[in-house]
Amino acid sequence: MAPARPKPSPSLFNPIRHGLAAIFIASLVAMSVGCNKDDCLGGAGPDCIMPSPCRTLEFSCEDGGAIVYELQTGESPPVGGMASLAAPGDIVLSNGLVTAVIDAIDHPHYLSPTGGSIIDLGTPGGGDDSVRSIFQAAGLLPHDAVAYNESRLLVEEGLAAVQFHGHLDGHPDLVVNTRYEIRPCEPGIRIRTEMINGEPDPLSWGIWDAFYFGNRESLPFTPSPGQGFDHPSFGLTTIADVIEGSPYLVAAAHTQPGVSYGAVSCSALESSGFHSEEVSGYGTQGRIVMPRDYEVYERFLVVAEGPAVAGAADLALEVRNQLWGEDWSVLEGQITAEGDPRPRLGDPLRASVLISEGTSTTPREERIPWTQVLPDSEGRFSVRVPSERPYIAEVEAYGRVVASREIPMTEGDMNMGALSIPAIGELVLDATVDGQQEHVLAFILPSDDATEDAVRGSLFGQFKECAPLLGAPYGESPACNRVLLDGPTTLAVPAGSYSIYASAGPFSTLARQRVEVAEGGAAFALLQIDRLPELMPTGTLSADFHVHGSASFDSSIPDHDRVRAFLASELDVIASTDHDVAWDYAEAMTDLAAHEQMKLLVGLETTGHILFRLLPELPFPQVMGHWNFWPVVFDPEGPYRGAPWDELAEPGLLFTRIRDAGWPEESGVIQFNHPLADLKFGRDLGFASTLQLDGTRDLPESFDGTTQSLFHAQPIGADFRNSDYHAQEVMNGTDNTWHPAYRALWFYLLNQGVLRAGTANSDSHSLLDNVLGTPRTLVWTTSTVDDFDEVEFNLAVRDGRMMGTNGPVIQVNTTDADGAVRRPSLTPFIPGPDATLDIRVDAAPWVPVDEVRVVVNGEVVRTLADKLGSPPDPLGTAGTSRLDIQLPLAEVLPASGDAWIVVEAGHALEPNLDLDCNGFPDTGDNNRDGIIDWRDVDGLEEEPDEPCFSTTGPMAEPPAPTSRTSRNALFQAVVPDGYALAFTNPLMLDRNGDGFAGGGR
Amino acid sequence: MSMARHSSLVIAAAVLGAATLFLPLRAGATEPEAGDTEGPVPAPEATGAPVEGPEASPADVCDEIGYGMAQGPVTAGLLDGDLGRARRICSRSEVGISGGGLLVVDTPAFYGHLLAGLSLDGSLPIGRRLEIFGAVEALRYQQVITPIPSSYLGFGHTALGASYRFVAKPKWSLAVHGKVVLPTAIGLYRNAWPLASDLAIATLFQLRRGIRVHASAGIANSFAMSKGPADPEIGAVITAGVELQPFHGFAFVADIHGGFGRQAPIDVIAAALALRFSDGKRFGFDVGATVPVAGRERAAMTLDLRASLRLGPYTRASGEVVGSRPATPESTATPEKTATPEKTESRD
Repeated sequence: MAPARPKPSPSLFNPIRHGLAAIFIASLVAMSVGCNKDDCLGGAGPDCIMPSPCRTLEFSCEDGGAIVYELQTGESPPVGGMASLAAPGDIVLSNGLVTAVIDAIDHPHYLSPTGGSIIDLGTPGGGDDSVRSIFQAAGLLPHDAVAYNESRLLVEEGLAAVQFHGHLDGHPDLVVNTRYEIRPCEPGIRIRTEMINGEPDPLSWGIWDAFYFGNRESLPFTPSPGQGFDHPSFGLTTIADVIEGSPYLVAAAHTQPGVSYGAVSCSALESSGFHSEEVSGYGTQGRIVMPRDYEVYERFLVVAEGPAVAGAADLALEVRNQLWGEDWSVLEGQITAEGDPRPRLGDPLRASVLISEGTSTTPREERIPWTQVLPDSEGRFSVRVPSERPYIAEVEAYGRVVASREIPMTEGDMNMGALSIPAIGELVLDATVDGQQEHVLAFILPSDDATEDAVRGSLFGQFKECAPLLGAPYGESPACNRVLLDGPTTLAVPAGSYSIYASAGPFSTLARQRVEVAEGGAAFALLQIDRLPELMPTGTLSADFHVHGSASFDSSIPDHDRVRAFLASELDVIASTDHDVAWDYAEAMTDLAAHEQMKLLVGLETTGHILFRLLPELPFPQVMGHWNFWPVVFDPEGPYRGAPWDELAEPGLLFTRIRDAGWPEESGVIQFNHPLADLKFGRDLGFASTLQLDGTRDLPESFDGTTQSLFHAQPIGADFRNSDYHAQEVMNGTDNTWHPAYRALWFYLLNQGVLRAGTANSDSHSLLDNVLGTPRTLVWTTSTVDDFDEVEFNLAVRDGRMMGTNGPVIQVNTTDADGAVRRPSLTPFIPGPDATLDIRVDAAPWVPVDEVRVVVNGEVVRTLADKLGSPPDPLGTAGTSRLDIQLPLAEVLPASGDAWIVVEAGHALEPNLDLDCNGFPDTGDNNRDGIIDWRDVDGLEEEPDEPCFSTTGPMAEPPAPTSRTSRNALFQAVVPDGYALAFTNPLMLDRNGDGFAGGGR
Repeated sequence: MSMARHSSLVIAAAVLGAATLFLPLRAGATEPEAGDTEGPVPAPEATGAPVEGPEASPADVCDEIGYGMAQGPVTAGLLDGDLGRARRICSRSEVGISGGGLLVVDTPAFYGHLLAGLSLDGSLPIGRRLEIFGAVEALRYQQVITPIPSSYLGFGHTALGASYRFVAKPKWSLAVHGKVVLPTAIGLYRNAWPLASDLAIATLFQLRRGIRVHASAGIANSFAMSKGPADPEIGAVITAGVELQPFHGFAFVADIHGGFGRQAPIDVIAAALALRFSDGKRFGFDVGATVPVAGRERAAMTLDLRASLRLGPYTRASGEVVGSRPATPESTATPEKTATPEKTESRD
């Protein structure tokens, strides 16, 4: 018989049972407490209203109001300025101090997949907007960007707001709500964002405001050790290593009218993020967000007038004082320039004061820069800094630190007294062209090494170094060491010995003047330039089909200076091709009467920002590179000013959208820009790089599943094939480093029967990055500037009746079977039986022409170097004719088959090799050891095992001039980092009369 | 989802969660059904000899297992706190320490998830049929791998539960299990605190000596305590498998596990395998892995290594009972402490 069953021990059983039951009861109570209809965390229903952010903040004034409204057609831009993008339908928040424009959901800009981002921010009607886009994201990937699908305007007692509801792009269960709010008297915008992980997997999230600075514009500044304006560089795979916390982020534009911005977290003591000239991501510290968990970020976005970050930093410290009780004190001081008769205090480059926490013995990487200020015209400044800390003030003048002082701040405000900086000199420049005062771009270069060492500097250690730095590198004139002249122009310059250079484009003489500038002294230089009209072939117009101004996200040159640069370039035709936005420069063109001297074609450069997978099986999402279109419809009010949205589309679909937006299909031009290029911020700039086009293989005629076959593919929903463009850039940029690769691609495509015209363009965004009109394209046309037929001109471009150059001018012709003279064109013809190739090369005396190359079907068949003329004086006018020769066609053509001929002139091409075996050169002899191998590749420490490298580059840059007076140095004085180069479009020889079948076919 | 509907779902899930806890506890107070094995659960075998020869005739299917050898389905679970994981039927006094990991690799989405943890668990029979058990994830390391990765190191989840075996036959047994998983991962959860529970009915058949099959079917549910969405979830979990024990010191387990309706029509269908070892005495060692083969689950696999120490007396091959204490009124409260030497001897 079995023993009796033991009973459960009540003493053990009951406590456990009751304890677990209590957990459940507590759970239910917690849930009932948590349910709250007064926010949107539980879902964006019709009654959902997000809490007001930053509730403890309070700013007061006597009179104030706040409004929110939808911008209507016909209303003027609420902010205005170089970055203004507001369009009807966008949402405006304003309180009389600050105005913000948030794009409508169907007007997305740049990296954001939908609207709901701040696109304009500044003072009402102040014309000081320099924000491109501030949007929300949870990470770096395309699906980490927020896509909003609903918005709601709110007006409550003492505030106006707009709420946006959406989700992370493509993930409807990752819910995001954002509220932008403005209150009377407040110098900024309150923002609250909620992100809810409604998916089953844990995610790595921060809520970030992505400040899209775009490059060449505002510089981010963070008060953290060793930073300020200095931020560690990073790539997409190393970005996690550079994320750091800071009490605030501020940024300022470097053009006038200036405004600064700042972001301060109301949710946490610090925000964290990464920063670059391109973009800052700033918000909550990243963490694992488990399923159902959510994150909230509240912040105050401040706006302050003035060109330095101090305005925004002062407000940020006030916000932190209110939020966290951090005290600030006022630090005052004065910068003096003793002994300088023209101290020019108040000029942005003359004196900029950086205030860092630390002492002179604190290593720079441990100092905490808190603010940066520009003194007024008397040298006085006043900034806020956290109380009771030691500081050091450093004064930067013309890109160099020239004075510093320790400031042991104790309790209360402090005046640091006067701090003297060295005197500078003055330079008065003037220029004439053919004896008349004209618009001229002058280059101010050190004449000796001592001056170069003494004046080389950079703006807050950022952007490109300049010698000397006379103005913000990418802003108005003077910029870097370049200045636009239109009559006598006075410049402040550091003392030294300088050579001033100027030309009126490549078809003029080169003027040079040397000056000595002493501290406190003045010098004068007059640059006398003569046009060389014989260089421009009869019946041609010179054109630049790739030009940017401040309408582009990566340019901050004001329109007025941009048009002055147009005029200084002596171009006949310019296609304004701003990134993603159509822009006509009308006001500046009219002010400067520029229409009388040139024609402006309103164009567009579509610029892929949002990554997507070209083919589902490809490992990485990509963009489709950059494409230029002209003419496009300009709508002064509309979104993107008439341009269509250009994201998430293969080229063929993009072409269709452009056509649907009014681009004339029968006569408009589509240009394939910089077709091969390195990635920039993870994005391909050229479509051939996107496709990883292999120049050793034929192009499939139809889609076969490979990226190679996408070249000719017609995307779904498109009326064009991806290859239905008309022209390709063979030269892009004043620095023609990439030309050998573009050239190889063009030749490959011509051999594949893809007959497209070749162009040469500057891709200029400022006075510094590229010289507008260098290089340029000469178009043979019946049009003139005075009697311009846009359709005829564009058809000439499409037909390739062009040559590209940064100096040499090549005229090539032959005769067809009927005896008619034929110039380069994409129209094939049957050559005459005894036809000759007539080559004439001219160039200004300062343009070195070392050789002329005849290229047939992609191969150089003849190099002419010994028959070239040499001008006696590079600064003179004589000796422009370099070559005039006739070659029997039979001598250069293969025995049979169709052929195309291109003629090139200038410097010998820099040698480059194709180390990744794709048929296009990618690496130069960068270590100058005479051999191109793995040792020339950046990032390779040892020779790769495989014959074809996965890592290549960079391409070879031209060797530096051997002396400051060499011919190459003269050329590079006005064509920086370039070497003389010109090419013709092809002569297409249909030798059998059965149609052109491709080179050698 | 409307607020009302949302709230009702939340409450329903909470009630269901509570039910999963209380049902087994309440069942623990009932008397065994007629036909159940009478008497105390005998002490198990403790030898390392091969399982061969004529089958013994245990009074309870649970008698068959070697003393320290782990029992039941594979222990490598896919969800936090082992929610929805099938559990052994046979109750025992045991403590265990386990280390495990889970890996998600989704290259096209640039997503990875690495989870590693160290857990302590224990179980305690209360009476002949009831067992309470618990586990704490003493150390949890979690990393979400994206271009901007995040990680967590700290305390993990806590699971508390009970099992009641209401049929205990010589060849088969039937039990219900329930547990609640508490969001004790302080620092991992910031604004939403998930509560989860499961309830399952499980069975164990002995086909022949050394070959057993087990099966389990139940529900798993969870919801979040949060100002945000509670997102109540409920789904079915099913596990079936076989345990082969050719030797007393070694066993092999193969399971098929399915989860349905919680986050997707098919949450997961997974294969699970485990190898088990024992010294024939108190110690057991178990290495198991679960590999999802279909469904929404993104994990590539989950791995579990567990060492266990069984408490209470056991019988050496010589017949000596180790660890028993003189019978006292208190010591008769647990079956292992009332092991009858006669029964043990008869099985030797």
